[in-house]
Amino acid sequence: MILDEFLLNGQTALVTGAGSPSGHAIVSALSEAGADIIAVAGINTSLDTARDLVTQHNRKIITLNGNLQDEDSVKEIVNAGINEFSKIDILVNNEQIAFSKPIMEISSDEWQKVVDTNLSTAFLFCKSVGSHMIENQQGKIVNVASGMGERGLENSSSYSATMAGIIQLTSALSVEWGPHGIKVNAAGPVWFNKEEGQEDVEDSVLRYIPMRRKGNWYELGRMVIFLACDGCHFLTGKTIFLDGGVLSHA
Amino acid sequence: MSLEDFSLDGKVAVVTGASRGLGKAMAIALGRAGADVCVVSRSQDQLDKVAEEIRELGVRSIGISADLTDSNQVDNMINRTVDEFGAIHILVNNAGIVQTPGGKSDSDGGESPAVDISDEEWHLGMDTNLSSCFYCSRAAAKYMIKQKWGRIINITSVAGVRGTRGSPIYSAAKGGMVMFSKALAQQWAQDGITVNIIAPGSFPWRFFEGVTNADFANLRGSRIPIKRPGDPKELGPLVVFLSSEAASYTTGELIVVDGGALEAAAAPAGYVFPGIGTIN
Repeated sequence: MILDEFLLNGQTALVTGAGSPSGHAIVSALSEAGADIIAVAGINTSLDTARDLVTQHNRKIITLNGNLQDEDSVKEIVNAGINEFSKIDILVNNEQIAFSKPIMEISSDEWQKVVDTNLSTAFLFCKSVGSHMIENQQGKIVNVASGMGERGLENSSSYSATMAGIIQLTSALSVEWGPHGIKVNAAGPVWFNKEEGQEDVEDSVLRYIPMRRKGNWYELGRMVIFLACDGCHFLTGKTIFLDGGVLSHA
Repeated sequence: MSLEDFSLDGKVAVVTGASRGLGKAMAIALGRAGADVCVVSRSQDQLDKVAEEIRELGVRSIGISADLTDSNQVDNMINRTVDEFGAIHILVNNAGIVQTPGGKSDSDGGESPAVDISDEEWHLGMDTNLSSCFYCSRAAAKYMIKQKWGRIINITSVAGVRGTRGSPIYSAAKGGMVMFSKALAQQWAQDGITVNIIAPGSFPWRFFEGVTNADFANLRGSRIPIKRPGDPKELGPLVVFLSSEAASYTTGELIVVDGGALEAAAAPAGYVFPGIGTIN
């Protein structure tokens, strides 16, 4: 038996970064749970796969590309989504780029690009969708963070800083928007395969993962369903990691 | 069927401290998701009523009364569950006691001064809140490791995560439960067992019944960002999710369910950060 609380029938979810492997898993999961999807990605990113996945679950989807670091462009995207579905119940901030370099070699432009993509995009979508959610006095925001927002790794300073930013944005917004009925949580994947279905080949990191396997984007999709659903109205401000036990290890 | 991996059909769950409050709500949620449920506490009468309520959902349920500070009784309880239902897949360790005057939490004036705590009280608190969790986990995991699948969910408290004045014994035991869980998560990560921790925030029905939501808002509610206390029913979906195949990569996690209370800085509701609102 499936709890009714997990179903998202009649709800609309806007998902950024919808052209990436994590985005594909998220739009697939949310549409499987019954939500219609506003799939959003940067200018040159294909959303064909997202469209196919949502269509397979017999839900409606619109795809929107644009400059996700530009406030006007984000507003246009959000308005187009609301025009199509008349509301947005769920916002999933999933747009991010990975970046790995020793800090001494990171140029200011590169730093800015990582911060803009990983943190400012979420800020702009929270603001734009948030005003709509405040009007409705309800909404669910699910941010996709990373274990690197909690622990450091060599050459990860820029990415880690933005992911810690996402975790604290989640916390602070939950306090600011709690009185408006908006719940803000995050899912934090740790050591996931780059592509869905990719096999764990000989990888030196595996022995550092207590479960001895990497995570699958499918599993992230399940977590996003849970954080987006009506079953967790008293849960807000939290980041839940999917880490195979990594972060609880000494 | 969609979302099949969120279902608990065919699973067997044990919930301790299940005769009322949060434990009862979680047991019912597990039953609604398809699990057969064994409910455990000291009070057979109340358990029988809860088990009856769960059976009405169309799953099997029994109530076993046991003193969980006695490991023999715990072993018997787990063995009986397996005899009755054929397996044990899910264990929710929820039994516990708060040792403050009137069972009140510290924000409501309940406080047990450390200098006045007797050795007996200390050991009672440790046995009831922490040793019971060890005994139940040990007994259940023997089966879970063999079947290479298990879910253990330990119910701690905000008092086990942050400092509170209320009961130092309770805080120590609940904090111990958090780290016990993280250690188990490590030991059993390759056995198909996840061990996670839920720390419920303010669920006022838990300790003192008869207090209305309005009373509560005056007491504590104003410090909760979502401006209301938790309803025990709201823990159900989280417990079901963590118990399901859908949460297969999350282990050793501490999840605080508090309406955002621990996210907020210590300041009165509506307090405005005294920064300057413009950047030139």
